[in-house]
Parts: sequence; structure tokens; C-alpha cells
Amino acid sequence: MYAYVGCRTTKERGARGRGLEVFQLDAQGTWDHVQTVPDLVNPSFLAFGKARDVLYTVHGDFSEVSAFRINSQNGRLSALNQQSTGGRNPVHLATDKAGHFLLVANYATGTIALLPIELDGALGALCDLLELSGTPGPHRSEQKGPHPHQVLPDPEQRRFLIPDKGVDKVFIVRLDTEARKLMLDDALSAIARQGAAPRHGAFHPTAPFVYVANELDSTITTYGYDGVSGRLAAKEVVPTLPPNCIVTSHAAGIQITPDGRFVYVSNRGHDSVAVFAVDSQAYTLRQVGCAPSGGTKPRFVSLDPSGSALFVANETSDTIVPFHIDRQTGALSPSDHVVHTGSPVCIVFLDPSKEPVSQ
Amino acid sequence: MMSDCRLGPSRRHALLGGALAVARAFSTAAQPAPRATARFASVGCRTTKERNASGEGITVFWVDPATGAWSQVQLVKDLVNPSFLAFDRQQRFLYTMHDDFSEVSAFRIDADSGELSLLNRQSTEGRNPVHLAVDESNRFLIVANYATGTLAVLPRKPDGSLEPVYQFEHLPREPGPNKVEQTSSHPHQVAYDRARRFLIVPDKGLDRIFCLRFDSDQGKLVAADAGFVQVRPGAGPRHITFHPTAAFAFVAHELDSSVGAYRHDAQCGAMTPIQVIPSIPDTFTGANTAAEITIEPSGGFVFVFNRGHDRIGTFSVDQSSGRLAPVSWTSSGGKGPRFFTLDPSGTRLYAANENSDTIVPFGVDGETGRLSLARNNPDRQPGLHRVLNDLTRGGWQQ
Repeated sequence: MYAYVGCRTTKERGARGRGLEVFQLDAQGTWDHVQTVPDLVNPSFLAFGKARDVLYTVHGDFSEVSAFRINSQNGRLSALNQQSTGGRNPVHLATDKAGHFLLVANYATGTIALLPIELDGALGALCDLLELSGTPGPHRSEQKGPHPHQVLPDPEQRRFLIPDKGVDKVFIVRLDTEARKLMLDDALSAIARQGAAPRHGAFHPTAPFVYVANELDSTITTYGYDGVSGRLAAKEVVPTLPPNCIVTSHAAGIQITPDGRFVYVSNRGHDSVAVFAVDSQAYTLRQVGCAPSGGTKPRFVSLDPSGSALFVANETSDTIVPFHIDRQTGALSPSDHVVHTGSPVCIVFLDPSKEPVSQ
Repeated sequence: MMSDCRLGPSRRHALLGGALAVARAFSTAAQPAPRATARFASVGCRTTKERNASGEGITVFWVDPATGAWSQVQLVKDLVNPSFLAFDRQQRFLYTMHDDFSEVSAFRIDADSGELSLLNRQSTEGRNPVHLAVDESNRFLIVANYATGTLAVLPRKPDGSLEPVYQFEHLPREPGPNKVEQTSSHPHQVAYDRARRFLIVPDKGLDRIFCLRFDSDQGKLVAADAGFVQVRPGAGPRHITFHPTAAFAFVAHELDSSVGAYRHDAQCGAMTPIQVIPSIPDTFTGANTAAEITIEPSGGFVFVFNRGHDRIGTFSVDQSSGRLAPVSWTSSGGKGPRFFTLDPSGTRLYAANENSDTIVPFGVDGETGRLSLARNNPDRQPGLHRVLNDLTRGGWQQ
């Protein structure tokens, strides 16, 4: 299995990363370094193409997205091409169901970019740019305008949820593949609490619920999601911080286990990962634990494909800390195989032996 | 109002408050009573169009000690937004500031009739005074100017009237992140601790809780060594209540709808955070701000008012750790619950719903912390309904 790690590189971000790092994981959980793809500026969020033979990355703080071909024999990356995202600070990306388009969230300029994917996986030039709008939330410095933070396909891949940190909304966007356009139905937008700052969401694997981490007020909102209408209905808001936490902290990454029983959210400031049990009937959350992240500023968490381990990227302590997941309780226990790499902000896993055969 | 809570049981007469107002009552110490019961209640009511208000001033009620029924004694008109109220130490005089403006007024209280007569009015030298307290020596009044982020000290004359501002304390600091609600320092309360040694000032604008001392000899506010405690960014600490016996204090954080439990060192005044918990249940997903907070006289339960959720949260207090746990959520019986207060016995809680013009009485179960609508119990509260109707008809608050 291979792990691809986006690492920030710029001085402005106080970063020590060298670019895109590729590791090979063995059965014992050891990470062997395979490759550094150099000369990339702030490669951060990563997404595979539909056939998982191509990897895309945004360049945080800048205006580009890059495509790489994956060598299935050794996991190494080779550059395909790069395109403009038509906006500043692209932070997240996702492909559509058919794998014909890539959607990119431009955080700073409040837009969603649509780029066609060519047959070889390379990116075509921007074909649509959807402008988001709304009243900025109350936070003086973090909510100056729309700040889409994620492009989250719904399970049917009919629509995309766009948590917007700047205007305290979760937008619902549809892709018209014929017209090559993104359509926003603002009547479907879910209004979050003022200053909550929705950041990242995760769908339950089987039930129609989505959990959205709100960055600035350190909460998770559980929404019921009607896949037909695209309507979200808030059910509950729970803190991501345990009540004995009195420090300043912001929620960041969110993951749900493949069996849908546990949700994990990282807390930057408290430097922890909160563990929530998912109620098997109501699909609401109950905090059952909170593990120290083993480093500082855990910006991102990722489950391995089997859902038996959680990897926490501690951005400012340059570590990826693997945690073993107790399948019964969801409890996290840190493993010794800490990976040291500069300013990690995103991890994706690829197991070529289990991937669909590419066309 | 806070000072009432801190009076010993034998002296505890006063109680309640109105939306953005304090209602309170007093009795003479000589009056024999099976338990401390308020005789009069004064309600400050906002009056201005800018506040969407239709109150007319301060309303004084007589509270029937046998039935708890209220009947109006006096309506003091020609006052602009009289809101929070405070007594002098002997409860012979009443002071109110005028919200959104820059004045504080002094009244003499007729001990028999409960009627108020205006003594004089002074500038607070700052905008939007929101809270006030009389110092331990009974010679000074301390006022929090919310909008301009200052504390003002005004000397009291022996006849109860006020002299011009004598000292003026700025609370300058980088404000919190909320660009609308935290444009500068916004002291929201001047609260004496139980021992009346320290003044605790929650500052909603700075996300800080200041600890000050008042030097009665010099008539000056001075920073205590404890300084301040920093609250989470954007929390907006608003009001504090102190545990009656243990070294704990609880603060309503307005903007992020949370309650902070703190260890409060009576010797040095220091506030050390123990816990932060939501003031609302997780099943409520709408907008909310936390408003008032008070503790039941035995210290077993803390009550928090939630505007938006429009419910009173009851929290049990762990007596050894000071930690809170939610117990129940009780409808405030109206909209925009801004203020509540316990009566001196702690058995009745009066909830002022600013947006629905009501003061709703609740019975307090000291064992469970449960609140029950007192008006559902006509034997205990005859006449109260009528008084509330009168209030509403009088356009107490819109």
C-alpha cells in the first residue's frame, strides 16, 4: 500500500515540507520513503481520479491544481500537467462520479472551479467558476467573505456539499455535465450558527446523515440528508472539545469509520482527536473519548482503507502519528511507528492490489 | 442584583429583575417573617424605540408575603431605559443606569410604601451603562459603561444622592474576534464576590474576566494581583455568579453559549478555569446567546438563561470539583429571556422575557433543581396572573 502526503512548503506558512511525499507501507505499519516530488508549492489536499491511476493536488495559497500519473508498480508519481483554478488558495478538490470533472474549492476568493478531466487523466482548462455568496460570519479575521473549505460528493454523487467557513453555510451544488456548469440552489443551503465556520464533513457510509465539523466554535453538526431533494436538516450540535478543555482550539479534520460506528475529529489547539460513538438508531454522536494527537496542530486525520488505523497529521510538529482503533469502543491508541515529514497536511492511501483496473 | 445573592440569609430581602432590568424587593429587618420574603419588587423596563421597547420606566410592586401575588404600587415615569438596579448597603436607596445613554439616577425608597422618589442624576462619563454596584463602605457607586469600555466611580452622599464621577477606569486591550459584538472592551457586570473583597468584571468585548479591588478609603478601583483570566476567543463572558460556600464561580459566556466553571480564590481573587460546557442542549441547533446566570442559595444548582433557545438551563454543581452537569431545560414561558432572579428564599425564580412582555414565576425544587411554572399553582400564586396581564397591557416591554 502507498501513502501520498501533501506537505506545505512556504515560509509564509512557516512550513518545512519538501513537496509531495510518497511512502510504501508494509504489513507491520512501517512507512518506507519512496519519492519526494520536488518543486511543488504547498501541495496540500489530494484526490485520486476515478480509476485511481491519477492523483491531483491543489497548491495552497496559490491558484493551481496539478495532475500526476501513478505508477502502479512502484507508486511513484510523474507530472501530467497543471491548470489554473481561477481563484486564490485552492484548499480542497473532488472528482465527479464519472471521473470526467474535477471540482476545486478556492478558499480565498470564494469560488468553486470546474475543470474537465481528459482521457489520460490530465486536466483541461477551467470550464466554469461558481461564485458563492452570503453574509460573512462575525469573525473579524477568519470570515471576511465566502470561504468554501471542502467539496464533498454526496453518496449518490448527485450533488456536492460545500461547507463554507466564511459565511456559515453548507452550500449544495449540482453539476450539469452537458452544459459543463455548476448549479447552486441556495434555497438548499444549510445555515450554520453564526461564527461556527463549517469546514469539513463526512457522510455516514450507509445511513442518510452527514457530520460537519465547524472550525471556529469547535462543534460538529449532525445533519439528516435527503439525497433526492438535496435537503439538509440539522439534528444536533455537539462540542468537539471535552468539557475540561479550557484552551483556545479549532476543529479541523473529520473521519467516519467504514462501519459507520465512530467519528473522529481533530482539535488544533487542544491538539487532540475527539472520538464519537454514532448512535445505531438515531445516528447522533456521543463523545466517548479524546486522545492527544501526539504532536501539535493536527490539521488532518485519515483512516486507512480498512478502517483499523487513524493517521493524524500534526502540521507544526512534522509528524504523522498512527493510532490503532479499537473496533469495539472506537478508542485510539498511538503506535510507535511515527512518521517524520515536514508540515504534513493531507494523506491518501492507495492499495494497487485492490484498485479497479484502469481503462 | 448580584449583591442580593450575596447577602446572608437573615438579610436577604431582595430579589428579582426584569428584562434588562432588575426587579427587587426589600423588607425591614424588624419584620418577623418565617423566611426571607421580598416585600417589594422593582422592575426596570426599557423605554426606547431603538430597543423596540414600550416599557414606561420603573414599576414598583408590592409582593404579598402570604400569596406571592404582585400588585402595582408605583410607576416611575419619565425615565429613559432604566434597566439594572442596585441598592445601597442598607437598602434605603435605589440606583439605576439608563441603558444606551450615559446617566445613573438615585432614588430614595419609602420603607413603608416602597415608593421611589428621585434624588438626582449624574453622568456616568461613558455610553450604555449596563451594571452597577455599591461598594462595601456604602460611600461609592461603581458603574460599568458597556459601549465605551470603562468603569466609573461616583461618590454617594449621606442623603443617597450621587456626586459626579470621581474615578474612571479604562479596560483597554485587543478585543475578541467577533467584529460586531466585540469592537472594544465591553464590561458587562461589576460583581462583588461573596466576601465582598474583590470586584469581578466579565468583559464581553475582550474575552476577559477582570479581578479588581475597590479601595474605599481612596475611593478608587485598583487592579488586583490576580489581574484577569482569558476566556476562549469569541466567548463573550457576560455575567458571573458565585457559589455560596465553596470556592467556585460560574460565568455565562454570551456569544458562544457556554458556561465556564471557575475556581475562585477568595484570598487573592484569582479565577482559574475548570470546565467549559454548552449552555444549551445538543439537540438545539438554532442561534442562541447566553444571558443571565444565577445559583440556587444552597449552591446545588446553577440556572442559565438562553436567548434563542428560550429556555432556562438547570445545571447541577458537583460540590467537590465545581463541575456542572446539565439537568433540565425549562421553557422561559416567553421570548427573549434576558434576565431572571431568584427570590430571597431561593424557592421562586422570576424570568423576564423581554420580547414577550412577561415576568414568569417558577417554583424551584431545591432538591432536584427542577423549575415548575408557579402560575399553574393558583393556590400559591393567586393574583400573579393578573399582575402579569397588567404588565403586558401596560406595554412593559415589546
